Amino acid sequence: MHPAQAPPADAPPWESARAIENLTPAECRRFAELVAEAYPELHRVVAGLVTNPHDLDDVLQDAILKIFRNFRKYNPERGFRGWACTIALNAARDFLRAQRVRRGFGLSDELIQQLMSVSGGTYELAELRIELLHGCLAALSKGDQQMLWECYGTDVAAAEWARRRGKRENAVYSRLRRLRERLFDCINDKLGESS
Amino acid sequence: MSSDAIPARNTDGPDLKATLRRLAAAACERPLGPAEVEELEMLLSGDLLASQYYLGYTQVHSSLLQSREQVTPECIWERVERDLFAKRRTSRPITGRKKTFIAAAATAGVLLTLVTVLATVSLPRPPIVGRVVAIAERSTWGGDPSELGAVVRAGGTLSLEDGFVTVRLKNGVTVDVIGDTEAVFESELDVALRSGLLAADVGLNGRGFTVGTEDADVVDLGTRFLVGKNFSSGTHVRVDEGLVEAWLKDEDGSIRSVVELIAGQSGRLDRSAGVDTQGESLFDFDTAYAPVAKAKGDVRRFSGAARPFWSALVGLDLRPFETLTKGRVFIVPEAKGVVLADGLVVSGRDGVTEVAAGTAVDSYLCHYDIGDGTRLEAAGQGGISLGTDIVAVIDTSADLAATDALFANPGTRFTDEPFRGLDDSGDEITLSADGSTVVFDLEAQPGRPLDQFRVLVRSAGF
Repeated sequence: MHPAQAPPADAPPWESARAIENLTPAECRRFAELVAEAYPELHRVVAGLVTNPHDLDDVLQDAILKIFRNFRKYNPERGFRGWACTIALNAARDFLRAQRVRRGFGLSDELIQQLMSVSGGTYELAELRIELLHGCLAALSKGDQQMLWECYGTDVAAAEWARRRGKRENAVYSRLRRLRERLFDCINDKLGESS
Repeated sequence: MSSDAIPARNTDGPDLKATLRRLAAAACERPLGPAEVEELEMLLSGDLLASQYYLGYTQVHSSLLQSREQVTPECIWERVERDLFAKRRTSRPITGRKKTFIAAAATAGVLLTLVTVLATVSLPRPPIVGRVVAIAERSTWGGDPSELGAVVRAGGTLSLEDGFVTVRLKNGVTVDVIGDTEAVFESELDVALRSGLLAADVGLNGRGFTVGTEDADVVDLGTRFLVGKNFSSGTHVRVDEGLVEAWLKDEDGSIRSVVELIAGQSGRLDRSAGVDTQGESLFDFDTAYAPVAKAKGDVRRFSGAARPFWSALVGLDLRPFETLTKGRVFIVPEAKGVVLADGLVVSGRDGVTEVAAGTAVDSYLCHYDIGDGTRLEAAGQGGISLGTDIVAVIDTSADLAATDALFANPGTRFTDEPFRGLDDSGDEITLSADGSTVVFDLEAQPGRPLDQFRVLVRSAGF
């Protein structure tokens, strides 16, 4: 039986979990803000190794939890993004190793390490590519932009898109692939121009 | 140097870039097979430029995937918390029941207004208009299923065959979608009802909220109302509180006539029959909506495994194995407005608590029964946030039995097994300090398949 307690007017949502890791509310708030800011970069480095959307989501979830568990060890004088990306890349490596054991085949540790190094060491290039991607996306037709937004990475949405327009699902996937290829070429063309 | 500047490794064989593109594209769409992994290993090993080219391709894939996400500190925190509950369940040694009073709501329905950090790619993405805050047990979907807590974006469709779903919009409007219904959330102020029934509870910020159908637009002027769309008999409106304007539309969208409806009034708008506010409504709002209103009660948000129970309440059998919850926790509404003639004294581990005589309370019974199934990860974890104070949580078998007569629905059958209440072996309840949210982590197991506890809240209006 629990009596009601005096209500704080603006109770933050992290009180229960912070008690577990013994973090202050300010640290919890800072953690969530830093991870949200770094999330695009975490997503990028992990997705370089783990491309399946469901696996990617699992690895990112695992990485975020590890970052939280180790947040007390984070030195604020160093960049958060690099520190967090290292943890995320390690989570991706662990996932690939486990997958290799499960399936009986997979990328070697050496290649995983090499991809981790390249992925973690090309932040500026990655930033530039994303900036160029903006322009390449804007150059697509509105219909193609809409299709990418609605269908990319979700089988259910792609199937629904195909059904509504009386098209075959395979045609939708082919179109998505061609659009991805076109964006990749567009970025590389622009990179070539800029260099 | 651009990453496109990678040279072909073997001019007689397939172009290296083309091969890497083929493998990268395949990796983006499906798991690579052994031969493809071997080929990738051979092409990339020791070649940093080739690795960069490959990662450049997967980055496009990653950016497109990510464009669908809107990442905020709030959702980061939700992910952490969701996992923490799961980890605690499996890793913490069992040391007896632990009940912790905490300083604030955990998975409460607090929609934070923290700064939104947009994903890096600015594809045209509809804004978030609201969030799913309740999904009734036994709900079935006609289209893409949604999840509890999921965001609803502008243009998002909810297609529900049975059950009900509640969406809280950012402006505070609460919309109950009751199956069989298809509704499109065009914006915070505009929902298109293609067929079926929905109920809207509009706060001060939602004035002007409109439910549009093929025949009519129903414009709220500060109220609570229901709209039903029936293909054979047009659009039906009932106003429970306040005032609405209902506009009958022609096929070209022009307004043919307008009628004002006030609390207690109903109306039917149909292109062939016109506007009728006098006749009997062909839409049985009471039968369709009363169970939803009852099931929700004063609960503002259901989280995790918590599901509003909206099956028939009279004669309910809540003994072990009779009403299985399949990993969910059913929140069963019980008596409302019970004025305690005598003070209610309940003994718990944290001491004795008394609810004063004369206090008016509503009761919700939380029911979890895994039957003879095995425990699922993250099952039994969730919470409910109420719009009123929680005055007591009754969680021992003895206290539950002692209060059944006062609060239970007529004809409900309970067990007298000692494991009915929460166990000393891992069940946890956390009550927020503001007294409006209870978070639970229940651990039933074969042989002791049932967990129940009762939440008493201060009755609204008292």
